[in-house]
Formats: sequence, C-alpha cells, structure tokens
Amino acid sequence: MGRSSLCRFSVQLIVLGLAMLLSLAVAAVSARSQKSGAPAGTAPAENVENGRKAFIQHGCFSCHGFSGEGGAGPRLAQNPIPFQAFVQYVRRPKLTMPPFGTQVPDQELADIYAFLKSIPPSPDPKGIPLLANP
Amino acid sequence: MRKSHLVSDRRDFLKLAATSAAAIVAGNTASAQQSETSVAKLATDAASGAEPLSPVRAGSDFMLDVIKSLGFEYVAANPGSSYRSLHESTINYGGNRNPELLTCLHEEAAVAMAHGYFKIEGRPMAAYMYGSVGMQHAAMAIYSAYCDRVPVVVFVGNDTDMTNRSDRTDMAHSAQDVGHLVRDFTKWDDTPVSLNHFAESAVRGYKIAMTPPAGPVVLAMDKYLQERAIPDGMKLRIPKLSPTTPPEGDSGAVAETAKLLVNAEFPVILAERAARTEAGLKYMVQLAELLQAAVVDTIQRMNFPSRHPLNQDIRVLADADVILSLENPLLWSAVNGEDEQSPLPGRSPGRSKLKPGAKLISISSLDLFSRSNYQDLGRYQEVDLSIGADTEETLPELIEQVKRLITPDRKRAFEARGAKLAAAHQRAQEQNLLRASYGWDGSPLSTARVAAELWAQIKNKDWSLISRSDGMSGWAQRLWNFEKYYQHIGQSGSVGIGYSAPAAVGAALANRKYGRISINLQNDGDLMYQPGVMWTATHHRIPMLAVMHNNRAYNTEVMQVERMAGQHHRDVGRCRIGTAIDDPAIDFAKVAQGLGWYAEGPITDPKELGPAIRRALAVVERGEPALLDTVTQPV
Repeated sequence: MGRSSLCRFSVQLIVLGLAMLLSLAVAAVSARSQKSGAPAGTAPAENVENGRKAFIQHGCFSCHGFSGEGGAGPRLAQNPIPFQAFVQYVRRPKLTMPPFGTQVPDQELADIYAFLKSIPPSPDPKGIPLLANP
Repeated sequence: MRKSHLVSDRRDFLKLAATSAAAIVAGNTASAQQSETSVAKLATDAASGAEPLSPVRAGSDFMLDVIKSLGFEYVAANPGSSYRSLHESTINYGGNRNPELLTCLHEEAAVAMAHGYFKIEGRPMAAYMYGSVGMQHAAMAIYSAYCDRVPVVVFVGNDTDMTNRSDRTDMAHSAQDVGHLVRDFTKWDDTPVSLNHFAESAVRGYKIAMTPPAGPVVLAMDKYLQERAIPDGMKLRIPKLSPTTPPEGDSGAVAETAKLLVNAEFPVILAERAARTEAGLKYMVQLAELLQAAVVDTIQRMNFPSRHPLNQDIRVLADADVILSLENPLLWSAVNGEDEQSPLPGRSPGRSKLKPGAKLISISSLDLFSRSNYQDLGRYQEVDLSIGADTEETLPELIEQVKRLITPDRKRAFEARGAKLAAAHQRAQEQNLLRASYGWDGSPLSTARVAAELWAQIKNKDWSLISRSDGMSGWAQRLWNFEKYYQHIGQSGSVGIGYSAPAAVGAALANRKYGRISINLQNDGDLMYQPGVMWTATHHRIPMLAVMHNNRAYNTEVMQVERMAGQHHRDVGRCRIGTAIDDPAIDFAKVAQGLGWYAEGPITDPKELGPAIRRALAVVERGEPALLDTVTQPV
C-alpha cells in the first residue's frame, strides 16, 4: 500500500461518482454509436484469455482488482455497462480514472470486456457463513 | 564515594583503544604485541591496587532518577555513544526496570514504537537518541507523532563541548543545537547545562508533551554532564510533576453549542481525534444518543463504536444544518468537495458540500498550539463558533447543557431522526456484506475475506487492532465490532510509510500486560521500511499477529502515477515501474522467520487462510509473535 492521502472517504466518493457517471454515459454513448453505424451494446469477436492479460497489462487491476471485483475503482465483473459505453468511458473517463485515449486498441477492449463478462458470479453473502452472522 | 574525575579513566581507555586500533588497522604484528603488553601491564596495575573500586555516582544516575520519577515503563533506544552513560545507568544503576530498555534496530522504529505504545497505554514511552545521526533517523517518526498529537519524550545525547570531542565519530555525531533538527515538529525542546536544569526541563517537557494538544518533546543531554561524577555536596532536586488540566471550553460558548445542536433538524458530529481515553468514547456515545445525531468518525482515534446505529457515512454532511467538528485539523477537506468541472482533478479550489446556511461549530485544542513550517493543519475553514478547548474535557459540560434543553417535543423528533439513521446504518451494513462477497473465492485473496476470516476467530477474544482500521480497504472497520477504546489505534497522523510496523509493536507491548490479542494488518511496503522491529518484538517477547496486506506494490502510488500517465496521454501500463515490489516477490514468511517469528506463507488460496490464522493465533496466545504472508488483491 502507499502513503498518499487517498483516504477511505474520498475513495468511496470517487467510486460512487464513477458509478453514477458510468450510468449517465450509457445513454450518451448509445446515441453516438448509432450515429457511427455500430450497433449499440455489441462487441467485436473476443478472446477471454487475451482480455485477462490485457486487463493486467494496462494496469486496470490496480484499481479494479485482478478479477474486476472492485477496489479503489468500481466493480466491473460480470455485468459491465454496455460495450460502447464501456469503450467510451475507458477512452475519456471522468474524475480520477486515467483517460486511456487510444492506448488500448478496440480489439483489446473487446477482449477485456469479454473477460469481465466471463468472471463467475460471487456467492450470495447470505450463503457465506462468515458473512451471514459477522 | 570515589573522588577521582571520570575523564582520567576515559583517557586511559581511549589511549588503550587507540593503540589497539592502530595495531589492527596497520596489520603490524610488532604493534599488536606492544598493545598486548600494554593491556597486560594495565591489568596488573589494576589488580595490585590496594583499594577496591567503589561505584561512581554519575550525572546520568541522577538523570535516571528524574526519568524514573516521571513513571516511564519503557525506553526505546538504538545504542549510541553520546548517551552511553545514561544507557549504563539505566541497566545497572536503575536495574533495567521502569524504565526497561527496549533494544531497537533503528531510531525511527524506537520513536514509532513509543507512538503506538501511547495510543494503547495513554502514557508516554521515552526514547533515548544518539546525537545528530540518531535524531536524523528518528525525524520521520517524531513528525508522525507530532501530526498525530501523540506525546513522546526524546532524550538525545550530544557532545556539546567541542574540546571534549576526540575523534571523527564524536565530531560527526555532535550538533551545535541538536533539537533544531526537529524543532518545526515538536512541541518543545531544551538543552540543559546542569543536572538541576535537566531535572526541571525533563519534568516541564513531560508536562508540555501531555497537555492537549499533546506532542513530542526533545531534551538534549550533554555527554559529559551524563558521564562526570556528581560533585560531593552538590544539591540536586527533582521537581514534582504538576500535570496541567486539559483546557475546557468556555461555558457560554458550550451553552450556545448545546442550543444549536438541540434545535437543529439534522445535526452531525464530525469526530477526528475527539476521544483520548475510554471515557472520551463514552461521552461521545452519550452525546450522540441524547441528540440521536449522526456521527461521522474519521477514525484517527477510537471515537465511536463501528456498529452503533448512529455511525454514519460522511455523505450525511450534505444534509446537516449543524455540524459539530471535534479536533479536526482537516475540517476544510471534510466539508468541501472536488469540483467535477476542474481540468486538474484533485487540485480544484473545491466547492462546499454543505447545505446553504448550515452552521459549523468547532471544538479543538489545535487552536491553542501550532507551528508554521509543516502544513498538517490543512486549509483555513470559516466556522460559526470556534471553541479553543480539549474535546474530551469539554464534552461532559456540553452533555449537561444538552440535557437541560431537551423538551419532550424535541425528544420525539430526535427519536424519529434516530430511527431513520438506524435504518440507514443497517442498509450500509447490508451493502458492506454484499460487497464483501465480491471475489470471495478469488486469488490473490480478497481483502474483505482476510478481514472476515480474522474476525471469525478473534471476535470472542479480548482483541486489539494495532494498525489502522481503514487499511485493506477499510474491511476491518466495516466488518468488525469496534466498541472499546483500545480496539483500534487510528492512523499515523503523517500518512507516512514506515510507521505501521513499529507502532504496532509498541502497541502490542502495551497490550501484553492486559493479555489482549494484538492484531496488525500489515502493508508490505510499510514493513520493509523497518523490518528490524520484528527482531525487537521477538527479543522482548511481544506477542502479536501480523497479517500481511501483501499486494506486492506501493499500490496507491501505482494509481497515482497511472492517473498522471492518463492526464499526460501516455502509457498507463508502464506505471508499475518504480512502484511494484514483485521482482522478486518478497517472501515475508522467510523474512519473519529469520527474525525469530513464527510465520507461514505466501498464502494465495483462500481455503488455507482460516486454518493458518488458527495456527498463528495459537502461537500468539503462547506469548510469541506470528506472521501470515497473505497475498492480496491490490486494494
């Protein structure tokens, strides 16, 4: 862990802000993608293993965890936002997430998206004895 | 009593040492033989002396009497020649009890141990320091104690008189003004020139250190004042310690505060270092429950029980019409948010998070003492009522004033407010449990799972978290039931790396006599600043369990550099250069074993975690330190 003063509260606020902005971005990006002719919410052909590697290679895991389960950044696993919104957000995010611009090619973004969708669901907390009655 | 002056003995010693050293350095057999002859002659001369040597009462013996009078249980120190006389007095004249000397492998560790010890024990630990070099090593830890308002009493040896310095070491390790090094971040320092001056300044220093706002003090001890025999007939006196009562808030201002709180629709209590003791924690609960007011705890101290229904997220500040801020140097940061439109996130002028017309009240002892150079006081925040006083001392009167003003109508309104807050707290708890389930079976280990597995095995014991409770993404704070003052020790104050491991050892030492299980959630980067403190824990039989947050990086810095790469439109993927600690991955179990700890790891399979914790806790309960190297998610 590091020394910088990203305190618990600011991290929580950042996560919350990101989540809200992501949902707002969905509508805007859907409109844009329709303009360019690409069907909203669809991804190019994808490779889950390449996506896992790219997720690590581009440092996404530092904030979102190795399996996209969240951390300093929001949870991305299993049910990411629609693909075009995802692409748009990675390229031009808000607040503290670094803008990736064109650093990550479309194909890699598609692979990362596939990887995030492929992550198996977490167990129900009610079924985890340690969380059922902490 | 022996009358001869110690300096003559010292000259003999130095002469002999110099002769021997010269022989060794030159590798000259003839010189070495000469040296051996000199040693033999000196030994014969000593043996033939008719009078037995009687103990010398050195200046440092009196200094130790003074130190003992202040009730120090321990003194943490890395050895050094500028306080060798006090060292010897401590272990022989003083019998190495009250204070007992703790062998530390670095001065930063010594002071940080004292820092952690105070936060459990409520009394300061002393630290002996070696002149200029020891003080430079200790500076960071002294700064942390200053920022965290923790009293540490540092006694630093210094060779003040240049004509007494004999060699390169004496010269390089002396300073004209040894306290100057840390004066910007200590409450007070002095350089006594006589033993009675030392006595007065030591007692005064202790008193200043302990008066809120507490802080570190430094007392220089001249090397020869320590070493010279006390002249016959010299009158020495140890002044009585007269502790200063902590400052209490002005009664009129406290009454006005009570009125504002009772009449508020949605008051919020914002606590930073509000509780100094278990009593302060009880006052906090009493005040919050009387008002059924939301409490936002920044957990710099154990201010409020984590599972209390009035314990709320900081977002409630946005709904507040009255905010009572307690001992908060960063109030501006708490009530202002980042401007989302700023082109440079994190550097914006900020925008208020408060409702228009919201009243701000501050009770803080920080208004009574400040330094200039270091900027831990944060930005200036306008408030409606500023009470310069110690919170814990002021709360009983505030509670009484609030009680007098509560009418049946207000009480009904408070109860309705409390019910809503309790429901919000419950929803937050459920969200926490849901979030804790994310990645539950993943590898590297989820930080939530590490916290939950630990909690399951300590919750029925008398436990104490001797590291920050918001480490590991705050999972301990979110999942554990903190309700007693000693159950967490807050943060470092300076947000510096290198504090946590030694502070944990100091806190564990304080917990030892109460039989508590000490748990340290230990970050990997932090441990490597002062790994030697693990040896100190072994050597002094200090039981504690360290569970690693081993994410193999300075991960906050990874994220910071990634943010810059993004802002500069460059390769974000390269930002682990200079921030990762993974090639090679440090084998913390081996490091700990080499320093005498029981250790297991690296643990990457979540199923192995519970059994490993069980085995390690058994070791700790036997009175030994144990470490689990758990390889975790980044955050």
